[in-house]
Amino acid sequence: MHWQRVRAIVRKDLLAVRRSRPVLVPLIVLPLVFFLAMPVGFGLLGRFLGEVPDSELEPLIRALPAADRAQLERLEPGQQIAVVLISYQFAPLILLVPLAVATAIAADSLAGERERRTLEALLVTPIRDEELFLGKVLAAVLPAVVIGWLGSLVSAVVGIAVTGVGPPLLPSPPWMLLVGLGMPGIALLGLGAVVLISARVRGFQEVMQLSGLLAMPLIGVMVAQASGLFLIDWRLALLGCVVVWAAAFGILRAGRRLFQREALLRLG
Amino acid sequence: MVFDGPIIQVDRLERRFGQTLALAGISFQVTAGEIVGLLGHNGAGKTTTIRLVLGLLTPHGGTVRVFGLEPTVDGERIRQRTGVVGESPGLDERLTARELLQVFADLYDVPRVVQAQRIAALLEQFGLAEVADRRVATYSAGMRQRLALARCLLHDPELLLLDEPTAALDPVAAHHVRELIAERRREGRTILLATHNLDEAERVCDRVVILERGRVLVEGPPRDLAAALGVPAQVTIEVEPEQVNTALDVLARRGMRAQATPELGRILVEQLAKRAVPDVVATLVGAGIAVYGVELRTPSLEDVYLALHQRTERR
Repeated sequence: MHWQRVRAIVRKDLLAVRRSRPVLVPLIVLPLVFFLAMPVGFGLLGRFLGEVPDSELEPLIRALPAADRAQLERLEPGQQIAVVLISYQFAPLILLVPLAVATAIAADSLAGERERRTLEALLVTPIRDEELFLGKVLAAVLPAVVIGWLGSLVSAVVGIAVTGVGPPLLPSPPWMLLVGLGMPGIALLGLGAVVLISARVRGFQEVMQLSGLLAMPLIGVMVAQASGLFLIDWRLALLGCVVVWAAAFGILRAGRRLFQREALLRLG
Repeated sequence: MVFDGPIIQVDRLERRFGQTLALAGISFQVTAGEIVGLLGHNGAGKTTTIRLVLGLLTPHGGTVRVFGLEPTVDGERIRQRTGVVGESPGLDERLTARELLQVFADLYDVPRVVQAQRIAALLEQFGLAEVADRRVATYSAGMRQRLALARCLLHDPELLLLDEPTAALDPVAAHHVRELIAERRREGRTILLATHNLDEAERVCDRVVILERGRVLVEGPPRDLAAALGVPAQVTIEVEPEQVNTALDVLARRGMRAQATPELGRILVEQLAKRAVPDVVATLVGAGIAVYGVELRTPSLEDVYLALHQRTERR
C-alpha cells in the first residue's frame, strides 16, 4: 500500500468538496439543524411548554427503561419533555448527518468524477485499485465521522446548557452509543451504498437521490418511537449499531469487488 | 536493467465489447525514440488500443508488451513509466493547476523533495506559471490541454500516450500543443499519438499505423505510404486560359483524366505518375498550347487515407 497515493486521493477529493456548493451546502446545513437547532429547539420547547398533560407525556416516559424512568421523574415536566425528545425520540436522526455527509462526498467523488470525465486521468496513474478505493472511502468517511462527532459534542453541550439536565439522561447511554459506534458505521454504510449505486448509475444527482433512500429506516425508527411502539434503550442502540456495521461491511466488500479499473472505465 | 526491445509490441491483439469487435487482431510496434501515429476515425480502435497498452482493459486475444512487460500483470510498473493525455484533459476544475500537479505528483510517486521544483519548472515550461494558483475552471481549452501535458510529464516518463490531444482545440492552441509534442520528441521520448488529424500525423509522426474498424490497414512512414500503396500524384498545369478546352481534348485523346480547376487557365491531371510529366508537357506544347507552369503535388497522408478508405468501402 502506497500511503502517499492514498493521501493524494483524500486531499484531492476534500479540496474539491470544499469548493463545490452542491456538496458543501448539505454538509453545513444538516449539522446546524440536527446538532444545534434540534437541541436548542427541544430545550426551549420544554421550557416554554412547562406543563404538559400527563396523558401526553406518560406513554413516552412509560416506554423508557426503568432506571431512566426513575431519574426522569425527578425532573421538571419541561425538562422531561426535552430529555425524552433529545436523548431518545429524535436520537436516531442524528445519524442522518454522517450518512448525508458520507453519501454526498462519495457521490461527488465517484459518480461526479465520472460525470466530469476526470476518473480516467486517475486510472492511468500507477495507483492500484485498492489504493484508489481506500482513498475514496477515507475521503468520504473521515469528514462524516469528524463532523458527526464534533457536532454531537456541540449538541450535548448545548442540550445540557438549554435544559439544565446532565448525564446519564442527557446525553443518554443509547445516544452515546449511536454517536460513538453508530456514526462511523452509518457513514461506511452510506459510502458502500454509493459505491454500489455508482456502479450502475452515471450522474451525481441520480446517486444522491437513490442514496437518500438510506435515510428511510432512520425516519421509520423515529416514527415508531413517536407512536409508542418502542423507545431505544442502550440494548436496542447496540443491536442497531451491530446491524449497521455488519451491513456496512457486507456492502463495502461487494463495492470493493465492483471497484475494478475495467468496470470503472466501462461506465465512464 | 535497461530494456532494449521495442517499447510497445502489439501482436494480433483482439478486444470485444459485447458483440462488437473493437480490435480484430492488430499488430504493430513502437521502438525507442519514435513518434508513431495511430490513425483512424472515431471507433477505429485507437482509444481501445491505448487502454490495452496501459493495462486498463484485458485483451481477448493476442498479446501486448510494453517495456517487455505484460500490462494486465505489470500495469502499475508500466504506468509508472508512461505519461498519458486523453482527448478530454480530465482535470478537476475546482482545483488550481498547482494543487492538481501536486496531487498527481503524489500519485506518480514523485519524491516530495523534488515535487515543488519540478512542478514550478513544468508550469514555467508550459506557460502556466502566472495562472498556477487560479482554478482550472477559469482556463481556456488550450491552457487545460497544456496543463494535461504538463501533468503527464511530472514523473519524467519514457513513453507518452497521447489520445487526440488537439481534437478539442482551436487552430492556434492546437499548433501550440503540437510544438510541445515536437519538443518532447527532441528530448528523445517515445510517443504513441492517436489522432484522426492527418495533417498533424504527417507533420509530427515518424511512422503511422492506419486503423479501420479494428484492423490495421497499413503502416509505415507517412511520406512512403503513397508510393507503397500506389496513390498517384496530382499534376496541375497552367496554360493559356483561352486554350484550356483544347488542352483538355488533347489530354483526353491521350487517355488521361483531366479537368479545369476553378482557377483561370489551370488544369488538374489525375492519376499521373511523376515520370510521365515531361511527356504530357511535350504533348501539349506539340499541340500548340502555351504551357506556363507545372505543379506536382505529392499525395498527402490525407490522400493516402482517403484512397485506403475508398478501397475498404468498395470491398
